[in-house]
Amino acid sequence: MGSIGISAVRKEAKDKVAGRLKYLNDYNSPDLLYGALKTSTFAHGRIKSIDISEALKMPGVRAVLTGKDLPYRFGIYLGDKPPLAIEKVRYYGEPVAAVVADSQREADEAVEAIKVEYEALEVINSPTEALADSAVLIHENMDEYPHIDAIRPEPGSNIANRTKIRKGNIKEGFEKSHVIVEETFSFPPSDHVAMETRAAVAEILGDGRIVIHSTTQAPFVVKNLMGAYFGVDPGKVTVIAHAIGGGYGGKAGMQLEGLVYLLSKAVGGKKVKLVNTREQDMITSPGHIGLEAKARIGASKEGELMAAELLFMFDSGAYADYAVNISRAAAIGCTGPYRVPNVWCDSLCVYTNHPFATAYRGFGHIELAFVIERTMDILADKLNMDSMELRMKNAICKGDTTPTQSLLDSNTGDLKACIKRTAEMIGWQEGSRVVTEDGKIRAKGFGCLWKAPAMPTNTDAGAIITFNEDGSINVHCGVVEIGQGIKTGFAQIAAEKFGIDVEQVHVIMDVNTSISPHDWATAASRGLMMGGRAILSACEDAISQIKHTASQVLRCPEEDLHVWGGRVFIKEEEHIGLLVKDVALGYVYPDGNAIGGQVIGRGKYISRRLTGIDPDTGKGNPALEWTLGAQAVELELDPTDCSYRIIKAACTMDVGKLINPAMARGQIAGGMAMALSFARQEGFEFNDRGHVINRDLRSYKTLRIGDAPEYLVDYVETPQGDGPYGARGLGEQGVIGIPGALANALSRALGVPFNHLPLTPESLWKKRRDNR
Amino acid sequence: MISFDFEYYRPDSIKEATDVYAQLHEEGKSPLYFSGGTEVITMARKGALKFDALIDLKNIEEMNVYRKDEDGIYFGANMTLNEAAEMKDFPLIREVVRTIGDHTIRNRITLGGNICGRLPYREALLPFLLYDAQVYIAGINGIKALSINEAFNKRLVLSKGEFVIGFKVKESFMDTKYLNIRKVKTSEIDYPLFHIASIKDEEGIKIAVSGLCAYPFRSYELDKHINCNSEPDEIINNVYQFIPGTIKEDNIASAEYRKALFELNLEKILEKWGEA
Repeated sequence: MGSIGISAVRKEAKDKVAGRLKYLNDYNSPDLLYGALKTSTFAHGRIKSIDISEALKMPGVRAVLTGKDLPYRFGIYLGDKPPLAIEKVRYYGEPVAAVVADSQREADEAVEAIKVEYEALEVINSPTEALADSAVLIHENMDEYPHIDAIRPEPGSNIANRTKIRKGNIKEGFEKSHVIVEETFSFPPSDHVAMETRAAVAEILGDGRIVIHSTTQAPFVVKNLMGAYFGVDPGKVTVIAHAIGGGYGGKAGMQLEGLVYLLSKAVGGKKVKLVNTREQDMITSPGHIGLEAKARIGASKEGELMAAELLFMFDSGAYADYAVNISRAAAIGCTGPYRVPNVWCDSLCVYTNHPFATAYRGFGHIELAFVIERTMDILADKLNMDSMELRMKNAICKGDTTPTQSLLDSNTGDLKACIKRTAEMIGWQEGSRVVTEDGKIRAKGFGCLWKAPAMPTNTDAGAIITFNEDGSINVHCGVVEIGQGIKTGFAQIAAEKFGIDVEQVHVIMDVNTSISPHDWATAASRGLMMGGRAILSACEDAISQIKHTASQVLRCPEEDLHVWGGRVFIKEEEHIGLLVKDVALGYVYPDGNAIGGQVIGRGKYISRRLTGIDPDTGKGNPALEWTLGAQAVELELDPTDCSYRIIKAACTMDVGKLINPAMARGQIAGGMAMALSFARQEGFEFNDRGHVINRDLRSYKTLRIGDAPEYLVDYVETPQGDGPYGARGLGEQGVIGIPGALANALSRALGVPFNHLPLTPESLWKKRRDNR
Repeated sequence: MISFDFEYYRPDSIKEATDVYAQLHEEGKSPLYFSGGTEVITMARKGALKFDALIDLKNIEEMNVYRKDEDGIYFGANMTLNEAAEMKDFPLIREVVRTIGDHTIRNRITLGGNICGRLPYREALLPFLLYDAQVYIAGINGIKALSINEAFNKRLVLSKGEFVIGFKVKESFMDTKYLNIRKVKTSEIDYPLFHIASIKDEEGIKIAVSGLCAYPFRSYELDKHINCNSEPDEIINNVYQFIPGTIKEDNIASAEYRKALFELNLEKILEKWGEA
């Protein structure tokens, strides 16, 4: 039969295209109260006064809260963020007060009646400013903040985390280098722009149980943090995640859940809903991290990389959230997918007065790859070498070590095969820069990718399988459906194991932390691999139970039985067997006697042999699996005004084993679209007071379908030995190499190095003019 | 969500509309006419627009029609941009309005709203300026017809309580040759760096521009300058003395980039008309 490698239609497809799938804000009930937030109009300011007296008098208002009422510190790794600003605000858009009212309208009206007075403080608008000796401290009391061991804040500075990589001997590496290039890079913070804005609903039941519905990628993290932040018993917390309209990392960790719980608490536990407006989703809630970076890379005459010295200064914005771990992940993968014997990297997570950053598709890797892939092209130019050949020559492979000195084993993908295939698809040999008859320039650029999940060493997944009367299967796993199609992928994995049609496998769409088996989070592109392993293990458990019952009926050893295609039968005598449906809920003999009882398959998986990293050298084994790939972009540029059209975007990825080709293509092409949008036209614009100028979709423009290039996607399948059917993660990776590839194509087109995003036509025009 | 209360009226006739406006005004309220409502909704929800009352003009029949009269073709101000784009009589109108917003929003934005709203681009105006259209304005004293170039000074000049009910273009312009150039920051679906619409008839080349300055314009002095038979270089070097405002600097583009692209594209237009 075969359920792996087919483009099964996603389980929720029909409801989605018909507009019937319910998202969190579609659920309403008569007892619901509504929250609204008053946000800061200063990027850095002392709160002189907050007057809530008018708001309290307004009709329908149940409660008005300010920072003083909520003495808590939030932060997934570093507890630095009050739910509502206390004493001072640290970014434009920070919540300073909250209202609960009978209707959204009344809540919004009351918010407008709240009067806040600020005293302006010096605004820090970039990591460089934040790191200056004279810089004001954004968090004066950093030494009081609790944090996990893996994070190393530096109190008395604006550095929330510093991760160090020291591999080989950097001095010797540069001494052996014949060619050294050095360059600086940057891009501003930006937003995910998920179609569904974040929302959360909380209520506290009579017995103290807390029920939270949330647009979360990480319901179990929310449950755990509710315990950590508020001291509530985790068993009394239920977090329910419905299908989500796009996560991209922005719905991982704790988002609105903590605050909406506090709002519910303020009104006696009544059910309160808090939904971000688009503008709040862009700047009040966290977005994509910014970066300033320096790279110095040395190579031999032949183009062999000898040394890499890298300084990443991430713009975390006002709070640390996931940014401290992003800066760490960027250090762990700092060289990109290249063999570099001598590496020095300091990766800093730096506070500024920008909106704060959280996880974003690629998690440190899209950021580091922009730096590395641009530097590779600059190096190739200096070596007078083809940039694709330079990548091929230095492509990391089995037997090499990563920046954390971890050995790449036989599960390592084949980057060289990916580079070769992408070069074919984009027509690299036909020329990477051509001037057309009408004076336009057609140029191509390359960019490679690698990514490993950045996650705790004990990250796990679980699965439960139950059966229906017709022998069909229900699969229950704690991974959230965020548009990636994971539930369908899981159904395919289970169908393959049982030799039945995917239609015979039903999935439970919602995740409920009180019912679903534990799962770390729907993040890090680990869902298919880890959830898939748990499902395989649950299938095996169920199969052994089926065999156990059937062996009694068929009077044969369990190990002689096989379960396939809806039957359990003796391997060598296929005609002797039973239907799974007659066994899975207990076998009933003709006289009415029943045995066995229902089959409940239990499956689990926990990451294997992972460690932290050494604080001084970065040595360790933090990476579960590396996904490798090669990407390229072709564009056509009008040299008169520097406007350009992206014609093709290509990606070859070593996915181990393709589970669902249509959905894999959707993930990879979607990733490329997201990265093209980010690199070409996204990014917050700030004035000198740190206000975000383009804080709505009228002024913050993402790639439209009409701007989309032709997407060329292909795969290499070097099995991931420990992945389900050999599969490895591919959800985020499509973004990673694209910003570098785009910048490389533009730099080649105009003969001017473009190292700062976004690459708007005007920025190209100015840089070319300044370079003349 | 719009977080303040307001009164809502939906009159069925021009007279009802102007009467209710006058009455509200008398009561000391600040009424606002609207048709598609896209600007009202987006701006009011952000607190950038306040009003005590809205007068919805959608039910006024005279504003909803497209018809051929003896003296020209009449466009009701309530026609959506997509409806106007579907009328094939004037290809330039079709081409200009199809660049405003995206398809979905063009199902709501009306000609009258785009031209009389708060946003400064008012691109739908450009062909009407070039065609020297008649604009029909309703007020408490009835309907008046004006040449749009007379009624327009940085914006369509309307007195309190007045609103536009439609535009009329002479049929003789149907076959007039045109050129249309619109430059954007990156995405096509965005406000323009500038938008130049141009026609050429027996009187010469005419151009109308949006996005370059704080308001759209068509200037007779500029037309005269362009038609002066000088070399394109010279025309462009001296063009700014005939442009009525300063070149805009905003988060779409800097003034220098806008200027450079404007010169480049004006040259392109002059070249193309030269060839034609």
